[in-house]
Amino acid sequence: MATAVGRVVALGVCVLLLGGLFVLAGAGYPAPPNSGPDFAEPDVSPDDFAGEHVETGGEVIATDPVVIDVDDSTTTQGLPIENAPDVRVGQEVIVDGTLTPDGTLIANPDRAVAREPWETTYMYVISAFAVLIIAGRGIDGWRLDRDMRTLTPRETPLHQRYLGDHTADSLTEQRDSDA
Amino acid sequence: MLVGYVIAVALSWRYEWIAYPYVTLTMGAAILPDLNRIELALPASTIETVLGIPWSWVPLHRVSGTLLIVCLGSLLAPTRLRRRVFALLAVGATSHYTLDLMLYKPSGLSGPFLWPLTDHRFAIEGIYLSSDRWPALVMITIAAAVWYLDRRRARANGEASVDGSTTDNTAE
Repeated sequence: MATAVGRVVALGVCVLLLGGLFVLAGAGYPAPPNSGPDFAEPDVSPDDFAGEHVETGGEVIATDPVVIDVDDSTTTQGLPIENAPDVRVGQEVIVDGTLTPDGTLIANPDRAVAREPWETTYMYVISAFAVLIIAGRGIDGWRLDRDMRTLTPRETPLHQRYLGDHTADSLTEQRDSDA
Repeated sequence: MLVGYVIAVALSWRYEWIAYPYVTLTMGAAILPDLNRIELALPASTIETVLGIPWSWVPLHRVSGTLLIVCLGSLLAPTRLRRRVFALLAVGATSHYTLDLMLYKPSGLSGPFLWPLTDHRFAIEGIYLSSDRWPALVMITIAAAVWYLDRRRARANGEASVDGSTTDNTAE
């Protein structure tokens, strides 16, 4: 029983530490966990960071001059870019440069990345696909042990149990000598 | 994820105990730092509003946060498997950060992965973007080759392949 109690305590400590990290990060202590200021926040004003070197990105919403829409899941803000690479409205850019007192980012066009919206969509689709594969394999190969309250590997993955892969049985050997 | 697959299957040739579920575990660990995408479903600003405390999901994509998630994952496993689960979760997560250090960034600097210990950002001269297609193509090819090699090896030895259609027995 001592191990069960120890396990709960250890789980609790991990959860508390993790929560602590989220709060510390939110407070920006001892340093902000991000690469730079988050211009998606409307109350983060680019001109407050005049002279600073930042990397940011977003969707191009105007081209003369180039303005990008920096957004996160909830908020958004436009940011004018000087020295932007050749882009069209709708493309996405990632730029690195220095901010001026009027809140314009003077970019280094040689290192900027411009990409089509579908490229970002591809990135999300393939990531979602990866998550689905892992979730499927996870359910297939692992099970919840209610008695022990643990996640434990299945003796026989579901796909073998239900799809009946009998041809394989003759090849089977005890691979896992856990005992 | 495919890198996790390749590493785990290759390791299984050396370590017999790495069976099908453990390969999945390593694959999952390889995308563990991307748990920070929880921001899309549950924005930190919502939590800040509801709880009235500062909040950020960024630590999930920092070594510190990932290590804690790996510890949590290991604690969910049965005691006798805990070391194995921890080891493979750590291997998978390490592969993620290794690949992140090969990302192209306009700034030429990585994120401060070691936060909160230090906000140091590593100089990186990356070779790919997350939105590029070729890394996935390369990895699909390598993973397919590893899958094939594993099957051939298993047939030759008359045993179960780690990730094929044959049974992996996890002795209780």
